[in-house]
Amino acid sequence: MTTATMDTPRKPDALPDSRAPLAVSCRGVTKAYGQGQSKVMALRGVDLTIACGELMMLVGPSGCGKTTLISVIAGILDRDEGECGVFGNDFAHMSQRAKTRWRGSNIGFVFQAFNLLPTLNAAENAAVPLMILGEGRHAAVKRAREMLDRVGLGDRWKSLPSQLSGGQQQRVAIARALIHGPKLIVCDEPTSALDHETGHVIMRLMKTIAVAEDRALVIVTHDARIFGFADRIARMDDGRVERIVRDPADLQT
Amino acid sequence: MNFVALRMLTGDRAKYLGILFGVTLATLLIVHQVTIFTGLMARTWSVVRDLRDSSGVDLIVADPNTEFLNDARPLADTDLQRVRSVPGVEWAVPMGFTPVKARMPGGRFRTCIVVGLDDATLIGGPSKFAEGTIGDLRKPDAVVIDALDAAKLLATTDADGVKRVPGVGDVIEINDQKARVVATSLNTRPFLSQPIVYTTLSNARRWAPPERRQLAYVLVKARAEADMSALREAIGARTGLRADSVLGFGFRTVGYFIRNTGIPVNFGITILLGCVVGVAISGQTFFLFVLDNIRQLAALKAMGATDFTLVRMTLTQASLVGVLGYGLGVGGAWLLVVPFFKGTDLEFDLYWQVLALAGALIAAIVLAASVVSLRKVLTLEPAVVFKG
Repeated sequence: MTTATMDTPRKPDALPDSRAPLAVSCRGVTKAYGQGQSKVMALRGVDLTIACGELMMLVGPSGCGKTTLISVIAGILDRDEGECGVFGNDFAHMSQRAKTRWRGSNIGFVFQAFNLLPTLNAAENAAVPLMILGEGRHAAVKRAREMLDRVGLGDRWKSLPSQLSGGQQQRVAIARALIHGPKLIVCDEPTSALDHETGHVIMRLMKTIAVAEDRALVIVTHDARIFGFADRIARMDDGRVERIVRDPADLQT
Repeated sequence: MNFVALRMLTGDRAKYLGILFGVTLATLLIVHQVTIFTGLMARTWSVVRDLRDSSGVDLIVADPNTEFLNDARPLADTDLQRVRSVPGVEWAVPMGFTPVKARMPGGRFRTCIVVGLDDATLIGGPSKFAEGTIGDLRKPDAVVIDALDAAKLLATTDADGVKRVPGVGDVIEINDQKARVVATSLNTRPFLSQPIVYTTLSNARRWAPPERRQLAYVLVKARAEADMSALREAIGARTGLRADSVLGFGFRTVGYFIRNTGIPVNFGITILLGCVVGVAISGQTFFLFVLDNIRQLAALKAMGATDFTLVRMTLTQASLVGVLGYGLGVGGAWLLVVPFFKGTDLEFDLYWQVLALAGALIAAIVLAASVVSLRKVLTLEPAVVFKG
């Protein structure tokens, strides 16, 4: 790692693989909700770097700022202070429209509640990011079916979300997050609605399909059962990154 | 993304049908009520409409104090000659318009409007007939009655309870003088419930109560090269009478009824109710639909859908229910006013202007229903997708 990025605390685990280019670089990021006496500091100066090909997990108690941090990283929430670059782009210097378009092309999302459109079938749901980018429906659905094949749902492409299990719905969501070839994938509690075994299947899928293509993954989770899939884990508390470790066992120390 | 928008809408059957029902009901109410209103107003000058369609008359000359068709103030016979002498007049013919009591074959009395036509030309009479022709009026004591008037207003029931509808060959008494029905016409329905009886002006003068002046209108055909506006002014200046175009006279009659009756207010209230019902049902259901999909919309926004895309999606959904609801509503209204009541007093013409007005109102309703939802969409914070 040649960059002089200032992670907190400064220790080897806080730095990504030095050979990989940086996907995310945040320094001193703050974010507050509300004003006056009701003001709540959600982020109190977060320093964090994530490299391409890296799977970073954000963990910590509820209200510690994990969700706010991935929202800032993904450009769907504006930070108050500090710097945050995603592949060298700072959302603070982009118009709302440009930010939205950039996000559409370069970031994939996997949500806790899947957020699939209930009236679209699996292939159509997975094709949505392509349609947002202007691709025609038929071409987009064709590509979506190929992507569903890769996540093991090729034979269920016609099924509506209500006809799929939770794990299958999350696979559709993963296909949707990957279909437009984003450089960064942001996941919010991707396994919290799934049983242990399904959660592991989903994580293996993410690890093999997403990270293998040199994308960066940032996952917010409470699910300690999947910590082992992370390259690094950042533990947050009270709006700060308290500790970054490579081995989940180190979180206990 | 229009495909996604439409699938989102049509996939939620209950709300989709609810919104569609609201727009359809609003359209039905608006088109039906405006059609009946315009139809009733058009009937106020039905006799004039019929003569416009049949005779090529350009102008109707009347006393300046005549406010509407049935309010004909008598003109002097010399007025006809004075009108004929105005440069630009190709020809001018007299027309009588007199309410007279008539006794039907079964003994029933009705007050009829006796329309006296120029003996020589019979200009101003009906053009459509169920039986006979306008030329039959040249027979002695001949009258033409309207077929629907005959069936409803002039029919009598005899002692055995058998309904007797007067027709060709029957004799009726007008002011105690015999008149023979020689033809039955198919007139445009009139607004007032007085049967129209056509005859020659000379017959009308014989049958009408004694009155010094018995001429009601002068019907004028302008020369081809005449400027209509200048001719109207010239007739006014030279005769002291008022000359209106046929359409202008129609509007004058309609204006009288609008000013002096509660008809437009009552229909206006119903039309307003239609709009309110449309906005209330459609707007509320559409808003609930957007609220139900707020997380999905936020997810789309997070995934790169711009505000413009989301607005376009919302307007596409609104357009679909607007167009479908308008079509269904117009279809329903058409069924109610045209085929269902065909040949009856309740049959009305569906004017394209009414459809255009209803279309504009429905567009406004759908837009109003969308605006509240659009505001929600535009202020939507995509970060909401990460909230549990």
